[in-house]
Amino acid sequence: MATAVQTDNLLNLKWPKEGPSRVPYWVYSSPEIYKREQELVFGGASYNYIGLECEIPNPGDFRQTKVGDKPVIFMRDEDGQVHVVVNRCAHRGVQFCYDMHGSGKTEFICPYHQWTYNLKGETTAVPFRRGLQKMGGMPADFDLKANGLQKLKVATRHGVIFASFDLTMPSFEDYIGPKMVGWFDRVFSGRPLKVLGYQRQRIRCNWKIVFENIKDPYHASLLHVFLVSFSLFRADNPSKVQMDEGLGLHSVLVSQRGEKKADDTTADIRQNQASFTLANPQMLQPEKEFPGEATVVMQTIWPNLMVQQQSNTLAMRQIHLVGPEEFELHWTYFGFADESEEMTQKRLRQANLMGPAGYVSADDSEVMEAIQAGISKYAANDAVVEMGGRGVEDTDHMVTETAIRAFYDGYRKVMGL
Amino acid sequence: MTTTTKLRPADLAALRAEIEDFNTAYADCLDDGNLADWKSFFTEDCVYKVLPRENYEQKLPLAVIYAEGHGGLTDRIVGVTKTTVYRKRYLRHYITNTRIRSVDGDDLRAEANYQVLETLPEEYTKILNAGRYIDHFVRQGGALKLKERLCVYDSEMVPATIVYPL
Repeated sequence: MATAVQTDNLLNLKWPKEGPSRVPYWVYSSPEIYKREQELVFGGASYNYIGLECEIPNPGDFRQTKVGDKPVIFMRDEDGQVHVVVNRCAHRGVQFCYDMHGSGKTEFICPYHQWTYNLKGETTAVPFRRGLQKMGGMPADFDLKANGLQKLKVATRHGVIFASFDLTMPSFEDYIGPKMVGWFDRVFSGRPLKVLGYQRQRIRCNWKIVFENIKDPYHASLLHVFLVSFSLFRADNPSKVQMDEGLGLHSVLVSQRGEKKADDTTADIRQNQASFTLANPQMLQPEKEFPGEATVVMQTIWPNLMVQQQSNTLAMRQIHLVGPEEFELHWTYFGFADESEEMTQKRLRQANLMGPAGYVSADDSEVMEAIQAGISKYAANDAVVEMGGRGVEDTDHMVTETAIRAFYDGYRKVMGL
Repeated sequence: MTTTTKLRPADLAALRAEIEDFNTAYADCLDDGNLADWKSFFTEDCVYKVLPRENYEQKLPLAVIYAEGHGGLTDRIVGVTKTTVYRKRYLRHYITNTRIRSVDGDDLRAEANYQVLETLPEEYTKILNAGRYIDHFVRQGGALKLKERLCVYDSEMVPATIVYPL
């Protein structure tokens, strides 16, 4: 029988025999798993979301972000090309870029020994390279080209930047597959984007808990009383869950808004306030803007991005890792450069739903920390994930945990578990 | 038009004391959990926002909390207390360094620094949020009311959840 206290070497990290309908709690707390994820997930054959092209519109613009727990810089060079490099001097490893964003850069200079890099990440100057008064200097065969910043492979699609530590990656489109490209292009059609602002929060739980949260429609119709009260997301609204054609690590939850009503769906929600109405209804006056019937599409792109389209509130939710039991969620809210002022206002008002103080998302951040509190002392126990069966197939309803099962099916393959 | 420089020092001091009393009462309201009274500090057509400094300085309009009018303030309180799930917690506001930016009759621009501590009874007290209030006051029936309060917080990072208004 399993005991409550386990360490990595006692656990031997063996997946439960039931397969994807069980998730062992050690995936959420083990330092060994966390280390392996840095190497195989974030440092491996994956495209990580980096940012939006409209955040660095001009040559010399740059921003910092993270891939997993590693700080990287994305920047635009004089030719208009986007580059992603690690924020680690090629010489002695100094995190040389202090500013989180900036513009008008022509080069980056490490403060320690003033090694200098251009906007492509190439080393352009090493002080005293030839020595001083015939003393010292780098060896004659020292090669500047071979000593540049570590670069990531960059892929962009319709204004969105992704990057990979694996320089042999196929295209982004092959990586997410045609079904996911279709959903991606529904929001990112190539129409120029504009950033409305940022929100950043630190949450004390494992990063996968937030990634699965967006693959879990079961909770959305129960925990989120606000969503259900306004029929923004209800278990009985027409809905579907789809995974990519490959490992099933990318997915979408698709649904459409219904009428506000009280029936057996709301009756199953203990805290339901069917009578709850807004004193200022301006906050929530959604307007349809994308093709098709769906009014909410939440897309997860493995391993660090959740694309949020709930009514008119659009955001990239990016995961930064802090440790096995802590992560940060970085939200970039956006709209379209050519949209009306009225539409921008709708997005800003509906943003009250999301983020650290969101009527919907605050539920999630509270519950996610409570999950970690519940499981971190019980590494040898498992989560039961059987809603909608034990399979990993697409469904045309929301009463399912199929996307979580598909996710862990793919995760085991990536992690060799 | 009256500007702050034209006010006599004694008048300016009296005005600053009045704002400090206002902010003390505002803090009491939230710290004591009298959430239904929160809107009484604002005008009917007010704007209330909580937003990170990075958005404010880059002129990005997004806030973390954006409430318009007494209706919006009421929705914030009712939405949080009736529809969201959260652990019990206490807030403690410290509002200091009140400075008057301009005075134009009953139209008053002022700022103050704030720090809000949050205590979950089973944890150590932590700093939930720190920054400055950027305020636009008007006078109604002789009393100061907020036409706009922007809570601009300094850190880009906030703890997982901001439940109550700041």
